[in-house]
Amino acid sequence: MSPVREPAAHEESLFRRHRRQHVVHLPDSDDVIDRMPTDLRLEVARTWTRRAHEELRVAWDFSLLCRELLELGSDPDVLAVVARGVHDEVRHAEVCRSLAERYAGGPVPWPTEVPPDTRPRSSDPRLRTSFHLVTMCCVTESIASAFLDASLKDASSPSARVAVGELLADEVVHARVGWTFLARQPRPMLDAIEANLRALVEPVVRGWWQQGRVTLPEGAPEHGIPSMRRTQEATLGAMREIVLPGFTEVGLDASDVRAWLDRWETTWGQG
Amino acid sequence: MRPDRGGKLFHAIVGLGLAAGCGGDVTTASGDGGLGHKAADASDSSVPHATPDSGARDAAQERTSAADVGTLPGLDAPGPVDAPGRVDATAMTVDAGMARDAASDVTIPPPPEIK
Repeated sequence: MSPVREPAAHEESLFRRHRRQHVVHLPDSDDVIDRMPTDLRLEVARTWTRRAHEELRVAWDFSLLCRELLELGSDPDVLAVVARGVHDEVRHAEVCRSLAERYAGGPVPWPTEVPPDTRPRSSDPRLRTSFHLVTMCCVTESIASAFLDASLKDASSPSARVAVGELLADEVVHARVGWTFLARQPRPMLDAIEANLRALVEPVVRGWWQQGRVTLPEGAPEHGIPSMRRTQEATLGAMREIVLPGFTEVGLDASDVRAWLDRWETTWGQG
Repeated sequence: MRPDRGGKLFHAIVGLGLAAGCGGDVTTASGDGGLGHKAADASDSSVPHATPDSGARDAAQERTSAADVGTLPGLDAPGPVDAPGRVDATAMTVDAGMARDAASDVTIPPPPEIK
């Protein structure tokens, strides 16, 4: 008889624990939505429909990162969470689509395909993978967690709260695995990350500043959609209170990024 | 604004992530750190309670019950796992030019609302 063994660290992420009928169970009734003006209701529906597609784009990014980790022989617990991230983000698309239906009052189709990123990549795969993981998990998902935390704090619609809560719980885990990965990197890799830290961080922060296709710049906070201003505040807060202190914790000198962020905040995105 | 009041997000993300990197578990020690499904907490009267057979409630219970931030693995826990197939990068050298190329190759996902 085989001895009973303790589960390995990565096994928890590989469990299939639930067989649910729906990806997300939204409340049967929602007075906050029922009281909305029709035009705002449709705009919020459009916003959550766009968000569904954006979740698929993030699934694409996680699938690329997953492939990179597979090709390099990643630690299983990091690989398990990143692989789960692909599934999570597809599930998030369904959460957003379901919520969009609630606002639209009718069917919302599954989002269209994600345009491929065909840029050639010729750089060292170990470096690229490490940098990708830092950018994707340590920075982007940490900011996304702060953004969703702010979204949840302001939301009063029970449907929006359930949906945003579902997204936030996963984003925290996605962000966390970046720091798990960083904690295990040898000094030469940390030095390479440190030397390129601003190049890795700055495009992400700038991205959260862009108005892009935002059609509700003032947001619809009660429906889980923060204003652009609140989004920018959450971004800065995440950088100052999560990402930069995290880099310091692992021994990275983030002073260059901090100085850039100070200038960026002073000009409030005009730089 | 302080989105991370009391450092809860820092703790749930960086604290637990680094602890896992030093020998803890990246998911089991804390779930989501008490975040996310807090919307479904019974104490939140603005959210209708899920029905007994609701998967949403199951997920919330699973995540919140595992989310005891007070049971952190210590930062001085045993070292990283020696996984099969893991690349030994301890002796690696990094060329600055290669690193710059790699940094410029990184794909960045768009934030919500921005595409």
